Amino acid sequence: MGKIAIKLLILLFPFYILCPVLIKLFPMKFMDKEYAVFYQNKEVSLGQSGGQISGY
Amino acid sequence: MGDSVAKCSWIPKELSDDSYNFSLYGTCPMEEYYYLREYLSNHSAPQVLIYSQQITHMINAEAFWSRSVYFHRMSKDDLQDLEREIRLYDESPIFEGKNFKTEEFLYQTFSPVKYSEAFFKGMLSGKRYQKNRHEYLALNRSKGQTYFGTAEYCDDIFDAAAEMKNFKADEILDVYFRKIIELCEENNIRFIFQSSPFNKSTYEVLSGAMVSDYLTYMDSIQSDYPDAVINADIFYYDNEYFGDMVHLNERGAVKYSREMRKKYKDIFEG
Repeated sequence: MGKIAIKLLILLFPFYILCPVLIKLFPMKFMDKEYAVFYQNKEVSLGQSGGQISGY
Repeated sequence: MGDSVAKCSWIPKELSDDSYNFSLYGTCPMEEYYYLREYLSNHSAPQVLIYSQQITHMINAEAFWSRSVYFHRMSKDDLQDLEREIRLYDESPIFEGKNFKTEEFLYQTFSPVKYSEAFFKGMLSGKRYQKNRHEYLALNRSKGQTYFGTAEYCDDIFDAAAEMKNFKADEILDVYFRKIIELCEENNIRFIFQSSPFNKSTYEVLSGAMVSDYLTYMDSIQSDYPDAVINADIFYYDNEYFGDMVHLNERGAVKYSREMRKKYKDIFEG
């Protein structure tokens, strides 16, 4: 039982490291397409977007 | 500014050259206050803010954890500010009984507890990046407007609204709704609340008591903020204008945007 638990931990360890790192670095690759909606909105809000707000 | 219904309904290109759709899916006043504050700290204030929110988003925050926090739309500082603010109130059902600090930590660190599904789907599907990229570029072109449901006709009933027997705004959402209006007033932004249509099927089964409670609540907002324009009337469009039970399809959005352009002629053509 103990050996199985250790093997599972060893197997899961890379996943627990890779999952946060990869998603943080490449959110568009991993998140569903609603991510783009929130990301684009944030870019506009921060004034960093290609979708410029003009006229104000 | 508003939720997904506003995201679909307001087409900037049908309104004016200087309008922008700043709405997001599923958001409620609590998140929108921080988005507006963030926007104002990076831009000069717009002359007018038209705010549009479904009734249901005054009683729940369905997308707070699953979208706003999940997609890291809210900054860490704003999340902490919100956490301090809500301590003043009794535990609200809008947080779904979750421990705020724990949830915040799990999302902020992209914990596999929250992101394992995204991880595996992203690893298995090669199309997520292309879909996100396509959506991102389309949003830039449309000045923030997009569609949710794309059917030609929908007579399904929007159960979340139809099942409401009465209406009482959530205490925290009420506070943040007022904060949005006050933030507009502080920045000399003309605040307009404009409701969106239900589909006919839903409209026909709405509870009279709920509608009455809601209109009374919006009247109280109008009384408290006489300079704000509150147009909270409950109305419907035929089912052919709906892409799903809640959201207008392209035909419906064009119709609505043109009607709004006419209604607010002084803003869009002034």
